[in-house]
Amino acid sequence: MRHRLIIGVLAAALLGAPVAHADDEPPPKTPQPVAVVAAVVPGVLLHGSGHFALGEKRTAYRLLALDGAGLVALVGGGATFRLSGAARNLATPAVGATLIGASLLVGTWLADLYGVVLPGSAKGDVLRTAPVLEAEMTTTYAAGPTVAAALHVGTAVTARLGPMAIELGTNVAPAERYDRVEAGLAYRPFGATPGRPSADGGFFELGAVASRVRHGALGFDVTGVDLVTGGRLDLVTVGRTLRGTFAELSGGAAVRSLTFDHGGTSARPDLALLLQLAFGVSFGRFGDPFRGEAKFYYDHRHDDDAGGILGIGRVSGVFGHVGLSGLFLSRSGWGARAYGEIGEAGVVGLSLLYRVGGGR
Amino acid sequence: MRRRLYVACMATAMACFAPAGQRTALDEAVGHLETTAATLDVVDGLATVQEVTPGSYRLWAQAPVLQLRVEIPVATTVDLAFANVLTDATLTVDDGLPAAPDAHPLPTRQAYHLTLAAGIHRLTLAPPDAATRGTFRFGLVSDVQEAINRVGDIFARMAADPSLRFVVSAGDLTDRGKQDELVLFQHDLEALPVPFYATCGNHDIGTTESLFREVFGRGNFHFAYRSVHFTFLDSASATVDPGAYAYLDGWLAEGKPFVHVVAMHIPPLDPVGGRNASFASRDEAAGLLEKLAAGGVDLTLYGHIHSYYAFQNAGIPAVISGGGGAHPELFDGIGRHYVVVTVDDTHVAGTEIVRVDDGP
Repeated sequence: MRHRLIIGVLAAALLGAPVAHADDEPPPKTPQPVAVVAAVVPGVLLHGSGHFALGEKRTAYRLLALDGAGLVALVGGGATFRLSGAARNLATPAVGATLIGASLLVGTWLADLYGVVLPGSAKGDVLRTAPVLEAEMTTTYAAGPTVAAALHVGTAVTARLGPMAIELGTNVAPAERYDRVEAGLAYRPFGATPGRPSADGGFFELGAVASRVRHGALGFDVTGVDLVTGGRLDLVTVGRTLRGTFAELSGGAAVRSLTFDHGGTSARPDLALLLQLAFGVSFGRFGDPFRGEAKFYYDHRHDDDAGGILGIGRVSGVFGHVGLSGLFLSRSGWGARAYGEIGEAGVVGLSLLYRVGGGR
Repeated sequence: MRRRLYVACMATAMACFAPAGQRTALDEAVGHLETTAATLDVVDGLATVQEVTPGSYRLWAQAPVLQLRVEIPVATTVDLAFANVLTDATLTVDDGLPAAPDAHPLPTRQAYHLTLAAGIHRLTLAPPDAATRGTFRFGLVSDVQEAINRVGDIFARMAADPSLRFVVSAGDLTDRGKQDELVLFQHDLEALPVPFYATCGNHDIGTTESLFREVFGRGNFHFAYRSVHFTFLDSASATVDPGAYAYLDGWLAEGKPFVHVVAMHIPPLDPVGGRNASFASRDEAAGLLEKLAAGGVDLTLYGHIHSYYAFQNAGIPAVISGGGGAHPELFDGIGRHYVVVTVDDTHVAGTEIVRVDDGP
């Protein structure tokens, strides 16, 4: 009986079926202690409990449904990986499913907490515009047990024309004789484009980035292409209490050719699974002089400065790295971005950026 | 109290950032024992040393040739029990005549009852062919883990091949690295008439990082036999510790004029890239491979992936063999197996897989 009820709730939520709720009432303007407590217990296990206690039942069921989907993906992916012995044809999708499942579990809980803890007046709006041109200059510091401490300086320019975007970037670390050049092309069939703001902050993109990296101190070059698809979901589409939050998912593959100073070029390309998952919060509203966003993310890349997370015992290096980034934009077009990542190495970065067009 | 908490937090943080670092420090303690009756030092730490009773010592060898420095404060008798040694090895004391061993039923065990004058003595245990040249063969078996109770039939197959001079392993001898598992594996090795030299896998350090060192010896070590150099690296945490890299530079320089075989558990790069059963950082992985290529390494041997792959990395022939019985990679048609490597003082003449049973 209990299982039938849970399945019914999940199905109703996934199908968006109307459920008896108090959603038609305006949400409370101040945090409700009962909802906050419920978001923690039993909310840590039953995601959406906080919203249920708040009376936002439709949002609660949707969060619970996403939580359930995450659990299925996590268990299914993990079991496939384990039971197949990491079979060569199953391991990559199994890893992808496991990570997406884990991110849904974490993301729905964070969304439940955000929706009931933050008062409505403090919630921002997710950015709904895209600039015509964005130029960025970055300084990055990376250090780790097997990564020589290095200061990187990078530049990047992104130009948009309708749904198309062209990206060019460079990054150098003279002390490590490291340099990187990259060029990318992206197509955005859904979401904001220059001069055409979107109804919400969501977007979807397909992209390809070609790069060449010289690791002079380590003695090898990497030439490759990243093929990535993904986007952002403005969580206000899940529930009105989630205004100002967003989730990101992008995935794809990196195809790389390695050329060693003493070992020649690898006979076959090296493939890598690309997966980035993020949960973010926006601050500031339309027309405010300053706006921005912060996001917590997981990046499955193992071929950048941060690399994979090291651990003690049996599991080490399997997972990519985690990071926290913040974007700050002013009405003048100037902005800044800061981020920190923890993997095998620790990485901190600070960017100065300038945006033309798109409004804020 | 606050200082203790601070130290504990810092130690945990350091262990997370450099999990292999503590094990390199543990390596340096292997092969040294100081008691009231004697001080024993095994050159390069190529054997564990334990005091069984006062004046009686047990050594587990990790190389075909052992050199010991024994310091005796007062003239006395010393009992030395060597395990995991070549049957035809003989012990010489202070470059004198070979000492006569006591009778022992196991071909890989030797015991000596020595009367030593006060002072410093140099003992060498070596087979007669240690410094000769010519072809010889050795086996490779890794990833036994939960199949520890049925590894005997693999050892029986190996024992039936009189051409094998010794067996090497790229780790994961046990499932959790518990004391009883490690000791049981040593007991299983009594079925082998030749010695077994192993580095640790991620499962071998699953309980504590020190047990493998106490029972089997170093995770990072190097020896030469018949003009062929063997280097074992501890990559059980998906990285190699900076301290081990310092050793590696010396070993590569030493082995460059000779045939050089390098073994480690987790391969730097997984040939199935999306699975990423490899190093946490692909940059570190490529940097290590370039280092091995520059050092003229002739063969790399890996475990961790429960199948069999023969490929090249940085132009160096590579074999992944994880066929010791751990949960197999499904659909690969490989099954339990071991590998036989034929080598001489000029090149690696060949590697061949020996199937013990059919694959799943």
